[in-house]
Amino acid sequence: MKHTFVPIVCICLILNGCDADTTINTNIPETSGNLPSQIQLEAPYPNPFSSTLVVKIRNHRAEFVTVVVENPVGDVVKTLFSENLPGAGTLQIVWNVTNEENKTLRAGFYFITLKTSSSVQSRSVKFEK
Amino acid sequence: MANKVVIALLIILGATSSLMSQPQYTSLYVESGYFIPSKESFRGNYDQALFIGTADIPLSFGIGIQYFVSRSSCLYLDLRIIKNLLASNEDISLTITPIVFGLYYYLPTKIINLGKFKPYSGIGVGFCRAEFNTKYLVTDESSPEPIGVAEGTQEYLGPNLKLTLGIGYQLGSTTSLGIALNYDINHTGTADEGGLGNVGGLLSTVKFTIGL
Repeated sequence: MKHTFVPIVCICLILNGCDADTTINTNIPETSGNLPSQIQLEAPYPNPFSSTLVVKIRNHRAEFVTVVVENPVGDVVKTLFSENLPGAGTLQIVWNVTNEENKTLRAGFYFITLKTSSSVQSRSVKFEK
Repeated sequence: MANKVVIALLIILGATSSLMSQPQYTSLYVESGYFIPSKESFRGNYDQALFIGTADIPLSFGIGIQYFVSRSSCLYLDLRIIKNLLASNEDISLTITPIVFGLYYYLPTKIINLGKFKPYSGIGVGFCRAEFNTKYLVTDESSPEPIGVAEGTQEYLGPNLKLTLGIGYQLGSTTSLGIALNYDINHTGTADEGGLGNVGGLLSTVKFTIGL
């Protein structure tokens, strides 16, 4: 199996709205045969969730990516990631269910939204306290 | 996008000349329209959908009853269903259902006489129910691989204030057609209270009224 871009970087970032409680791994190894034809927001897990939520994004090329948590009316309650991804690979975000003020959110439905210059994808998630 | 285009006019089957000259007249109306949320995040994320199901034609649906209490004013009670689908995932919807009781005031012909056209304004208060519906993929703690699909609903309630400007056109002795602009303020509570804030906006409608 041929691997594309591979170095594993595991960092806790304080970048563009991300905070130390959000763990972000970028460029996790990806076999070229598994690469999606376009950027893909995978199903967040676990869902429903009560403490942390893992969000995985698989991308096929360098691209500026924004990942936000929105409430049912579309208000952004947390920006998880807003960066340029350097190339093909997987972005993994572990979110601890806090908002921009580091307060734990109320139980209920939210959606995780991935935005790039060419697409918007959303996945609904349920937070249970 | 056709569903992004603002339909600026209402067709009202509403108050006719005969209605105007016959206080105590009761009439029913149905209306359909296009909703523009006042909140930018709502506007940016959702497209209005057909009130039941999905379609490329975005339409809300309303039904109501009005009762003339004088030559120029009537009380009304109406219910609307405004369904909105998340643009990036049509398994997610937010449906707004205001129920409003209010007063329409028709400009007397002594002030302005437009023949068969009857301009009016209105104000109403009531409450609004917003319902968030979603399908979501159920996953466990080990991977993003879905193990099922679930559906969930969340409800929000709050007060409503409605302001209306419209004009009706007499079609027959008891029917009329008109257009109107309605501004609905539906407050469902602040984020700290677990609400969604203001889910109101501008609703342009077409209305058909028939006397009983």
